[in-house]
Amino acid sequence: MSTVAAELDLALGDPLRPSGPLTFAQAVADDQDEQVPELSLRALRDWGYQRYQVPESVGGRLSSLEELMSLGRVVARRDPAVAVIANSALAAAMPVWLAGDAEQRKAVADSVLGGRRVALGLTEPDHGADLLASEVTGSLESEGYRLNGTKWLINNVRPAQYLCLLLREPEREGLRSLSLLLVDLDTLDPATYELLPRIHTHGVRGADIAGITFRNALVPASARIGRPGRGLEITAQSLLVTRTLIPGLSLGALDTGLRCTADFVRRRHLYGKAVEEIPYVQDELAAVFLDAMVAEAVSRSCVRILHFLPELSPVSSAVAKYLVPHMAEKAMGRLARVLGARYFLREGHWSGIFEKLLRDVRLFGLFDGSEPVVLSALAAQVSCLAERDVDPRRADDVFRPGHATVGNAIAPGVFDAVADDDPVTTDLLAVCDALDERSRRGDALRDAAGALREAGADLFEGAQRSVDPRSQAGQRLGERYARVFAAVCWAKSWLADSARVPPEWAAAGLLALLRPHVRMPQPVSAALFGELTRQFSHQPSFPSPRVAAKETPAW
Amino acid sequence: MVASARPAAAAVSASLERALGDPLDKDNIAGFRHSVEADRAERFPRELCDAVFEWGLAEYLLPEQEGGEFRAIEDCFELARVLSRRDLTAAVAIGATVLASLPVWLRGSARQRRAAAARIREHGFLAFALSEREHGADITAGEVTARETPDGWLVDGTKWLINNAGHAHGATVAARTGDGIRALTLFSLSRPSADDGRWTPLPKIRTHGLRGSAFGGITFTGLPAADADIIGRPGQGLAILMETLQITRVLVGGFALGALDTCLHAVLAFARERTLYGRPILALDAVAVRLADAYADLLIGEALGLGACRAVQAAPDQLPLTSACAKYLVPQLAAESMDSLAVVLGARSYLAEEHWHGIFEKMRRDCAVTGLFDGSAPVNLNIIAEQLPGLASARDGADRDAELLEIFTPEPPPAAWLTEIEFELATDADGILRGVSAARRVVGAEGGTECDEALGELLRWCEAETARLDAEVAEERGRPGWPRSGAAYDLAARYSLLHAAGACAWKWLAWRGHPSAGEFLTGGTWLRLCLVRITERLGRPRDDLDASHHAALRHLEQVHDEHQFFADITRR
Repeated sequence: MSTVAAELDLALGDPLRPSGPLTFAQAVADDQDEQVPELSLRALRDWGYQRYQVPESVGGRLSSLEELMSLGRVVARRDPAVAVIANSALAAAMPVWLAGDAEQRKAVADSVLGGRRVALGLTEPDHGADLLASEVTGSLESEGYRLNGTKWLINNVRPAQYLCLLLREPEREGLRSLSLLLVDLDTLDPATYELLPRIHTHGVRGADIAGITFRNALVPASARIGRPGRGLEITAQSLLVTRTLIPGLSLGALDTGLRCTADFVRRRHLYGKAVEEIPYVQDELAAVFLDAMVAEAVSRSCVRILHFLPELSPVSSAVAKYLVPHMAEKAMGRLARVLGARYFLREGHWSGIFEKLLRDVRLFGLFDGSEPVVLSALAAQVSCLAERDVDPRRADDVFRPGHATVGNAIAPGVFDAVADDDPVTTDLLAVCDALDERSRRGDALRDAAGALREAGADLFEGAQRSVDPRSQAGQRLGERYARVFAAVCWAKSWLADSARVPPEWAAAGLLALLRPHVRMPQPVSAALFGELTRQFSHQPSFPSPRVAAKETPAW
Repeated sequence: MVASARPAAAAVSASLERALGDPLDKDNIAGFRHSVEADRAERFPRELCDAVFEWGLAEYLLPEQEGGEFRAIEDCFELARVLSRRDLTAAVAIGATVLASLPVWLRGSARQRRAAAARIREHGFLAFALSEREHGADITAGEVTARETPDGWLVDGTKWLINNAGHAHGATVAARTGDGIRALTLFSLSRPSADDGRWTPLPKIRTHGLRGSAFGGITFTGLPAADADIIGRPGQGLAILMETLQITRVLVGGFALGALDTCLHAVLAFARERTLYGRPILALDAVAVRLADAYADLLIGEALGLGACRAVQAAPDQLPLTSACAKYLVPQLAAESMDSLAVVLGARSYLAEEHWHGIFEKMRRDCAVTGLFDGSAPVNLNIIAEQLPGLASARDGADRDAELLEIFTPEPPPAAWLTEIEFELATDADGILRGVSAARRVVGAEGGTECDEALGELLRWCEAETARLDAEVAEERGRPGWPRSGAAYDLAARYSLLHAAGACAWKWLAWRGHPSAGEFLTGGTWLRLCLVRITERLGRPRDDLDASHHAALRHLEQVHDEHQFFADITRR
């Protein structure tokens, strides 16, 4: 965890306090009332969270996306709804950071630093992921763009000053028919647009999600972000960044889910002893702990790819966006089963935060590219695996231990929509050889390396055939790609820094990705549970000075 | 529609379904909009419960002895399912009344039965006061006591996390009267008419799903009870509870299947309306397969539920195993299917409004709780795991095959009433799983078509998997702590799938060629559909959409257009 994230964690204090901003009690109360969590948001503003939503180049403090992901995780541990709202400024304004002119960047930066929100208007009632089918139109007239139509399921559109709006230019066609505008809702004629009512949701009930309808609204031509007709490209590039960052929020929710459950099973007694003594309970917590470690390593690799290997981010962003929310959801399901009836309550143990987390984490798999969308994106890119003579050293910085000082990742011209090659996955055989070198004959690491070789061979073979990315076969191929990519990331991270994770855990982590339904060997499970107990005893709740002092896996 | 073979169950559930009206009508109190709004407001669906009682539900909850129509467990199962399709909050509240009354029907005195019947006829609710805050599944650790005094018994302590706690007129209360296995005694108690502090409902508990439910607690303070209020004899509480739970574990599946039924309808409607990239998303095979798979899960749950319901009255020796398998697997299949269907709905799965008034989101939260009722997944997996070593060494028993086939028949003979059942603690030999081999022999003998070949292969795979599993059990069973380990629960979960395959196979054998069953059920495709789904979960690689999926989708769309249940039990 970065120093800044640790500072934030400490500043926010113990989330188990009976009340106050960013406590579990507050999170549950805001959720219950479907209230925008103003108290908690204000605490973040007072700390200066919004500075990390604005790139350094325009007056903010954001230089490291890895650090930003840690910040988001710290907040999501306490209330994922607050994390979604507080991080939406950066995500919604991404088209401006990536393609806006100096004036636009300055205007949005000032707005965000002043505490205002930003919204991103992509989706419509009848067209979710199918952006090319957009019905919101903007006709370019002499005075500017004339807007008509409805954008829907838009986070923060009601309180926002700026709206990044994707629209169709009727006179254009095909892939270049869409443009993005930076709409200033403060100055837009209120008679020409309508903010639709808030929408009730399953989780993140505090978020202000709604829609907006334009009726001949007029926006100056200077509001266009980037060149005309580049809306789809800019949107795709923006999504690479946000898809990579969202996993941080899943990890934060899982952190708390795991702690909450660990605390429960040591307090609860059944059949004359603590529930944590039941072998099944230990096995489940160990499996979730390992999943959290693996998901963290994959998230970290993918966010560092944005900095050090941006040309691979079309692949890595889809891997992160599919796999981490998916693993977190599954892991929360396992924890719910261990918690039994307590998972179902909105009160009591830890103020009932668990059931809220369970609802909230489901959002992360859905927004900014749902599971089918990102799996299709991966399937559409497997051909990059066919590229030979790829230098794997291009990825070295990604897996280097410790925090990297980085330059400006969010800037124009950094990202492409498609990857040409994949220096991570195509290094698979060398990675397996390196694992073999660390192993003894017949041990778990060697077996896991064998499983990775097998999965790799299967993937490379599948990559040679053409498949419709939206078909079932395409979806499965996408998933295989995600799991192999993630396994290589995990292996490379471990090979680069194996001090804290024994080889048996590394092996179990590989198999958790490649054979998620197979239970790890009992001795590994026991060792992992021991480590979890040790970490938990040290610091049952947040903030966690020990974690702040140095990096540790998972929590 | 073909005429019903057994008028009672089919006609009654169909009649209730009709009485409940159009679920999409926004003014219908049995409609989804009302259900979703009551849930948001955390309001108990009193109007809906009243309407169901007005329709005449009480008679179907009362045994013949009391002048009612409750003869077979599956009738109860089907009614629970019909109501669950609308609103699980209401279904579960009435279910709690059934749960509380079962010990009375099973072992209660004539006076107790009459009193319970009168209460239900007055549309009253009963609470099943078993669990306590600190003890959950550990029933024998209960701290609520009944002390014997010269004037009778005095009950003290707090029961917690029980349904209908706030509004129950009476309760079946488990209280400690001694130690060890005979520690518990069951009392059938009435709420005193005066609020004199002897029976104090605790505040409603806020929950993840079923937000309108009256979950809460009751504190008893010196509440007097007479010998005549004891169900059975003092110290028999645990035994009666074991019997009761073997039955209710079967019934819980009805809630889950009803919820899945609605979700499947909602998502099918969405997949037909919604166009992406220029065509309805149902045309995408990745979408179609999710619908077909969810339908397979429904059919699997239905076959397993049918067998378990019938086993209560016709083969109670099978009940210790099959009730645990059904209780674990049916809610689990429903939850997994809903997760998969949510992917099809996309963002709509997350909205508490809009498509079908947002019922999917509510059903998903509500259905999850059915996994907890009457023994959570780990509890039931443990019950199964404990039986696995014995079952693994008892795979013979072909002599009972005719009897088992009879259990799955579309037209069951009148069954023994619950009081005549001899309950057992464990199942010695799994007759339901034997359906796999019985079906394989039939397919092998007749053979020929492509579907038969596919079926034969699937059935042989299940047989081989059973042998593998048995071998693993034999190897693992001696390990210390094994019956409570993750590995044992994994094996138990896998076993429950094979057990369900057996139920599907028996049902197929019993229904194929039956004159009153529809074409979909008499052919082999549905069995193939189910077995592909089951074996996939057990690790067998599967193909993309096959003929059985296409047939299933056609059948789904047809049923949907007829505004019918997906339930085939009521469709013959």
